[in-house]
Amino acid sequence: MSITVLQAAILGVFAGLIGTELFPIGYLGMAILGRPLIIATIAGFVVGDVQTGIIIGITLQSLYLGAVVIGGVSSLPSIGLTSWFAVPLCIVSGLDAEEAAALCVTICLAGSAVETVLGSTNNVLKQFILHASDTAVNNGNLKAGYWIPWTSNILVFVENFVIVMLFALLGQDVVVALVSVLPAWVTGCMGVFTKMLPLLGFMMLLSVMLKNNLQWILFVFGFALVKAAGLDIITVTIISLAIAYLMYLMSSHKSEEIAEEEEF
Amino acid sequence: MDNNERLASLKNDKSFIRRIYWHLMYEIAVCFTMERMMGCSMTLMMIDASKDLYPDDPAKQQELAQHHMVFFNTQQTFGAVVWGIALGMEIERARTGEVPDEMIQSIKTALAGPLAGLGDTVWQTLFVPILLSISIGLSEGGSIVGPIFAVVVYVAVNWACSYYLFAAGVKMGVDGANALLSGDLKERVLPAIETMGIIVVGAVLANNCYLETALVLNVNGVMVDLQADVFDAIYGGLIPLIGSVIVFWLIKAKHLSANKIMLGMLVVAIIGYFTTILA
Repeated sequence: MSITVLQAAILGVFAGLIGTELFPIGYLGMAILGRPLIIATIAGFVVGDVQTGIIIGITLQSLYLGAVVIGGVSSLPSIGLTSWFAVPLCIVSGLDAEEAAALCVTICLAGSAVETVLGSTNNVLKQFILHASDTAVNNGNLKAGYWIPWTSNILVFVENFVIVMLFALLGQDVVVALVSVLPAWVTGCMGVFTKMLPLLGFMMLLSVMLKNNLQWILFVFGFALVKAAGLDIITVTIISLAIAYLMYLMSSHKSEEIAEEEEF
Repeated sequence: MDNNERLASLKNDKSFIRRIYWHLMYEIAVCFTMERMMGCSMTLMMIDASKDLYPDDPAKQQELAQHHMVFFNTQQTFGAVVWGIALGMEIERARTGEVPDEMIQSIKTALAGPLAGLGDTVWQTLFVPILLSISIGLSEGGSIVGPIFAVVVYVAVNWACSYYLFAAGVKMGVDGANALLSGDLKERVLPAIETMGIIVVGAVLANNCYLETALVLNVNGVMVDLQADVFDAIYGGLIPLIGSVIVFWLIKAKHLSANKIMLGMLVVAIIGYFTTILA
C-alpha cells in the first residue's frame, strides 16, 4: 500500500482548508475538525483505510484530550499539521494498528517542533498583512482593507498544502526503511510508552475539570462501570447524563429558598 | 423610508443578520496575530456592515472600520454575543448619533474577559472533551460512528448557540448576554456537566489504558503471575487507576509540564519494558 500523488494532494487540500478554519462552515467546525481523532479519520479515509486511521486517531486523541488553547497558546505541542501526513504514513507503513499508533505519536511529537517555528513565522507574516490592511483602511480604501487579510488564508493554505503533500510523498520511503531496521525492543518500548500516554491526556483534562478531591469518587465510579460492570460507553453516557440532570434539579432549591425568605 | 426607521429595522432584519453572521463564521480567526488577535474579524465585519449603516457616507464607513482596528479576544461561541452587541450599538449610533465610541469599546472589553473564561471552561474543558471521550468510546475498533457523532453533535450545538447569541446581541444589546452571565449557568448547569464529564472520563480511560504488568514472581517456588493472580483479583485495571493518581499528582501538585511528563513516561516505559514490570 502506498500513498499516490493524488491522495497526497487531497491530504494537502484538507490540511489547508482545516488549517485556515474555512472548511466547510468556517470556525464553527474548527474546534472539532482540527482534533487528532477527526484528522486521523479523514486522513485514513483518503488513503483508503479508515479503520486503522481511527485506531491511530484514538491514541492521538487520548493524549490530546486535555489540550486547551488559552489566548493562542496551547498546553501541548501542536500536531494539527503534522498529523495530516503522519497518520497516512503510519497507515501505509505496514505496521499493525497498535504499532502504527505508537509510531504516529513519535512522528507527531517530533514534527510539532517544526509546527511551532512555522507558527511563529506566520505570526510575523500576518502582522505585515494586518498592517497593510490598516494602511488601506486609513487611506479610505475599505475594499482593499477587507480583502488584504484574506491573503493570510492563502498563505496558510499554501504552506499547509505544500508541507503535507511533500512529506506524505517523500516520507514513505523513510518510514518503510525506518520500520525495517527497528529492533524489537524499540517497538516494544514505544508500545508501552504509547499505552501510558492516555493517562497524561486524561489527567491533564481532569486537572482542569476537578474542583475538589471528592470528585475522584465520580472518576472511579465511571472507571468501575466499565471495568467491573462491563458497561458500554453509550450506557455510561446515559447514566452520567441522568446523574447530571438530578444534580441540576437538586440545585434549584437555592434560588427558591431565597425567594421564599423574601416573601416574609 | 426614513433613515431612522430603516436603521431601527435592521436589528430585526434576518437576512442582514445572517449576512453579517457569515463574517463571524469565516473570518473570526483571520489574520490572528498576538497584536490584535480576533480584532481583525471585528474590523472586517464592520466594513461590510458599514455599507448598510452609512450607505452614502464613505468617510463614516472608514471611521467605523478604524474604530474597531483594536485588540480583541474572547471565546468564539459565547463571545458571538459581543460581536452582536457591538453591531447593535453601531446601528444605534448610526441612528441617533448619541452612542460614544468609548462606550462601545469598553463594553466589548468588559464582556470579552468573563465570556472568554466562561466560554473556554464550557467549550474547551467540558463540552469538546466530553464529546471526544464519548466519541473515543464509540470509535472502538475503528468504528466510524465515533467521529461522525462528534462532528455532527459539535457543529449542531456550536452553530445554534453562536448564531442565537449573535442575533440576541444585535437585538437586545447587553441584555443579550444576561443568559450567559447570570448565575444560573455557572452555579447549576456547569457543575452538573462537570459531574457527567468526570464519570465519562473515568469510563473511557478504563477502556483505553491497558497497562499491565508482565512480571512473574517466584514465591516460594510457586510462579505467581502478578497481573492475573494478584492485581486482577483485587480489582481489574488497578495499574491504570494508580497511574492516574500519580500522573494527576505530577500535574497538579508538582506542576510538571506535559513535555516533562512525556519524557518521564518514556524513561519509565523503557525501564518497564526491559524489566517486564510494564507490558
